[in-house]
Amino acid sequence: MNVLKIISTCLMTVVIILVTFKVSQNIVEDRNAHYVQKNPVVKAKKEKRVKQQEPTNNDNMISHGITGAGKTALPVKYRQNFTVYENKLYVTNDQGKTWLQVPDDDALGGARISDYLDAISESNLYLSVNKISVVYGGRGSENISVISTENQGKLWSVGSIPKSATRDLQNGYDQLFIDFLDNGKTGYVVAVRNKGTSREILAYRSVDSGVTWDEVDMDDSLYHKMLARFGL
Amino acid sequence: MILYTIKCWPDLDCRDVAMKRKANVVLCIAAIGLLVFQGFVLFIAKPKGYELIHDGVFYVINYVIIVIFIFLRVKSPYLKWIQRMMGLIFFVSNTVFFYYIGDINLVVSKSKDRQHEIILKEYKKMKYETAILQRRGLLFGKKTATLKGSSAYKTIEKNTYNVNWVGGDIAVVTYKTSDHGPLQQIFKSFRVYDDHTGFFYVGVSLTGKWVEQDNPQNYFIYDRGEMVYAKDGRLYYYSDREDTEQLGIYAVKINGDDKRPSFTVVLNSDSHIGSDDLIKDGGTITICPVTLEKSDYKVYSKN
Repeated sequence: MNVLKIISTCLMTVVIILVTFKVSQNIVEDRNAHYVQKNPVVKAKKEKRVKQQEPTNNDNMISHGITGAGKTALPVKYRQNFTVYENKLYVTNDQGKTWLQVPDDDALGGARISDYLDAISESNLYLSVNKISVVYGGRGSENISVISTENQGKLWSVGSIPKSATRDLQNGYDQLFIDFLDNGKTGYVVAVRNKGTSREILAYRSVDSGVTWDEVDMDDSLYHKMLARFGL
Repeated sequence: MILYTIKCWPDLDCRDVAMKRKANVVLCIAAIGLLVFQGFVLFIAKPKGYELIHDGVFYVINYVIIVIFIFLRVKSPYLKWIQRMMGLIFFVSNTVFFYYIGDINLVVSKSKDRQHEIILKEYKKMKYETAILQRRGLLFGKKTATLKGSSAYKTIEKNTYNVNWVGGDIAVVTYKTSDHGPLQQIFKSFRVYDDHTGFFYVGVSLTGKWVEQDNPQNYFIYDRGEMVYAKDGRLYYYSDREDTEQLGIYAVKINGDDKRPSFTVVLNSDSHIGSDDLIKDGGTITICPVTLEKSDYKVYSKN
């Protein structure tokens, strides 16, 4: 009798355990099955871009003014028409008697001349009695800038050439050239960039004294005329 | 109504009956107290967004209640059987729930100065989302957010997450939502600003050029909705309209793609917003790359 009681008790215990386990497990599975995600990953419906978005922030074609310091004397010996003194660029159009400090363009996205001191050479300068222009920039996201003064450095005008940024942070243009014709009305800017064994040469022309610049196509006869002007 | 009566154990002297009865009364009171606590957890704390940091506490308390219930003595042999069967049922079901629901991964991350703390709580076997808790007392945490996609993908279990602190008061959680999907970032800020009262758009407040303090070659520009990010000799362009997602009022996430990195810009505690909605001079930001690799977050200052 006792054995039967033990067996039936054991059986009942096992049945209770199994049934309880199954029911509890079902409750858990049911909770999981009916759980509605509160914070799912939503895939953005976005068209796949073929290429990086073109920058527009630096393509401000409108020139803006910068106040300059005017003429000044420097304790440096004249060797060329520009010099870097106390980390600032100075240019002269009277063989070093007086110097004009080229101010930084602090406009957002604009190239600052102080970042290009190592890239300035005579070809970057246009110097006349009435007008001084410096072309620089083009590294990284910064377009080529042309900064000019027609009142002996008291006021400078700076404008950038749209879509001329190399988008290369390390190597910008290897050489920049600038010249003005027709009493400063027509401007030429040529940018040279070495790419391994080949080189890329871009040409820009301004017909409004350097306020705006347009790219000159390689197939245009003017392109070759401009390059020839700079001995390229 | 079931009447529970407490009687002395067979092998005990009747002199001990009073003491045993007293002990059982204390146990009963303890069980009732524990039941009240469980009720508080389930019906008061949980609906208000509070939960036990360690779910195991809940199930351990259940075990204690079950043990007390089993040790209560009843006169009737039938009631005794019912009591034992119910005890067994409670024990088994509590074990099953403990195994499935109570099995959690817990990550407790503290700021360097140990002033702030966030807790990530992930259910290993349940589809419940991984919660970010803010500690409330010893046992409880207040749910402040959940990780996106964590219902289907258990990022802590797979060790595909990391927690970093920016400026000592903002926790940045970077995590995966699938084995091959993009990484996500979520922020928990403990910062208290005393000089602003409302929402402002983080993107616009960043207008200007920001240069990495340790490496001026790296910079970030925000200008009229367009962004330029120069990093390690490469340039990336983003559009505020298409690529950003504001996170709270201290951060904006810039979403990249397979060719552009994703990162988050966080306003540091020294960044204060002026009346023109721009960050005042002297403020700094931190750029946090969205990556699981160990990379330092870099501080940028306005150029």
